[in-house]
Amino acid sequence: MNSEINHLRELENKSIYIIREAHKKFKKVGVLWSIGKDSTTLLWLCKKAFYGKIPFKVIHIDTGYKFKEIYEFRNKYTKEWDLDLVIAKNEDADKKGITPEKDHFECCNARKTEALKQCIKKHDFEALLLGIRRDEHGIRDKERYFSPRDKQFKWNIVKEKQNKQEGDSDFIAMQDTEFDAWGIYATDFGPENNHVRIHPMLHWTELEIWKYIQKENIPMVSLYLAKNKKRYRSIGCECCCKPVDSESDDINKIVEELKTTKISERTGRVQNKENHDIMQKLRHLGYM
Amino acid sequence: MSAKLLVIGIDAATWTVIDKNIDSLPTFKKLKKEAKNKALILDQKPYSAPCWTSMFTGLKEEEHKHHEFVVDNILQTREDINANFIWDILTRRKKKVKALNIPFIVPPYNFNIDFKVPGAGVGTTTKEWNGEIKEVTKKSVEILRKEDLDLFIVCYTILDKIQHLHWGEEIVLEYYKKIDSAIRELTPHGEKLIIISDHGFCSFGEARVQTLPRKTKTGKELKGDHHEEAILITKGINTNINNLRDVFKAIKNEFRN
Repeated sequence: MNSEINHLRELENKSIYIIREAHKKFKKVGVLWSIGKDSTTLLWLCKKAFYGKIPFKVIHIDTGYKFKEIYEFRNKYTKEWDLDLVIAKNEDADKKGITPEKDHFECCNARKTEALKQCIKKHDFEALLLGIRRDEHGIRDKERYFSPRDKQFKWNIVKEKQNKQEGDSDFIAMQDTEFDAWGIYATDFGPENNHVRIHPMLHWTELEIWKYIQKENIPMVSLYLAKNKKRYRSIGCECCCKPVDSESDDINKIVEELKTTKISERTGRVQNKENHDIMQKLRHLGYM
Repeated sequence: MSAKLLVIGIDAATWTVIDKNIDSLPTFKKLKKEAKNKALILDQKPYSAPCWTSMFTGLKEEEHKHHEFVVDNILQTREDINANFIWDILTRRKKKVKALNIPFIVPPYNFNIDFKVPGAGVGTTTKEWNGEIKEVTKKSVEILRKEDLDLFIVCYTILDKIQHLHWGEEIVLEYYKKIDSAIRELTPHGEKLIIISDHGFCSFGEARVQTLPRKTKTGKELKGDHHEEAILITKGINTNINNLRDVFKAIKNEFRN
């Protein structure tokens, strides 16, 4: 038990170090809060890093399609934790009638990506803290703690080398300078970037997040707890999430469930219709 | 107008079918006489996603880490692969490159071309199979007639699906003939040429590595599976190609200066 607490403390220490590093290196920092378990834990860590009061803005991207429990939770804890909340909403999406029923992908793009772009521009954010984890998805396995995004919001790993001499490589690596084990992170990526994404929880797993929530007694949206033998493992927009079979109606049971489950965390997320059809074809051909 | 180097990828094309039916496949017959050709023995497992990725990144599967079309129920995209492809590298060197229907992901990837392939690279009906051959060939010829390119890469995915579902049946040869005609239309537009498959094909259970289950989740019984012997035809290429990653090297060597 002690070794488990020590392990969680190590995870926490590293995250807090990165959060403080971000605050020191960048003038305008924001933390993204989707109200899910990861970003709420990130907020908790930010609170701990600065002794209770988060010194930067907290951004909630409001797609307009979130569960009502998410809005209730947001309103309650914005007051209780004295957050400087910014609600980012792309009003154009409503005017243009972009809905998840028409096209999930277009909807996500307009209501999440575009809303975030508008928010970064409006508040001139230099850096954003996000609660992503490496174990969530293949591409995130390759992410870094400090990760620049270019003007197109793309993750750039290299830039073309100017004034090249014979024998030089064509490119300069922008991301290979992260000496994670020594706590040394590259934070200056030059003016060609739009902003830097900072991922203080990259090294956590889903199970560790829940163990930490259990240990710290962090408040969570009730959707994660089973009702009528169903619960959500991943939450977001109501139309794009489906509950999974589960009897875990408290945090202790969730921790036990995750120790043995073989079901992926993102199983409950809906895909767009075209992708759905392609997956059916792949199943038909035996690829899945 | 043409391409200095034309690469034609044919998913799952095998000498087993071509050689046995060479008199019905006039373009392959001509190429076997006029160009270098050989069986390319894979040194990696014959799964399409990693094989095509190795071919165009020059990296081993354990280096590019792209193992499957779907991970955790999510379709993988170009952004999920942390590697530079040959088209990325040559474009940065100011070469004119286009790539059409490259099946390392589903739907297949297009570089510098706006295109949507019938069947999304996983066609299961004759309509989708015919649609892919027709549309991919049409688009390729349209580009090659209009533009002077350094490199043009185009792939066909249908033989793989047809062979999985119909290995041993007449329909397989029917579509090899259609591919043969498509190649006949394309080859005059390339000064140098590489024709390659990502793996070969054989009857189910014959291969050393079983890549798919005999019975799919929708209850379909598969008749054929991937084999580690791919086809390779080259014209005007100096680099020795002994594995899929050598294709990347061979293309890069052509544009060394």
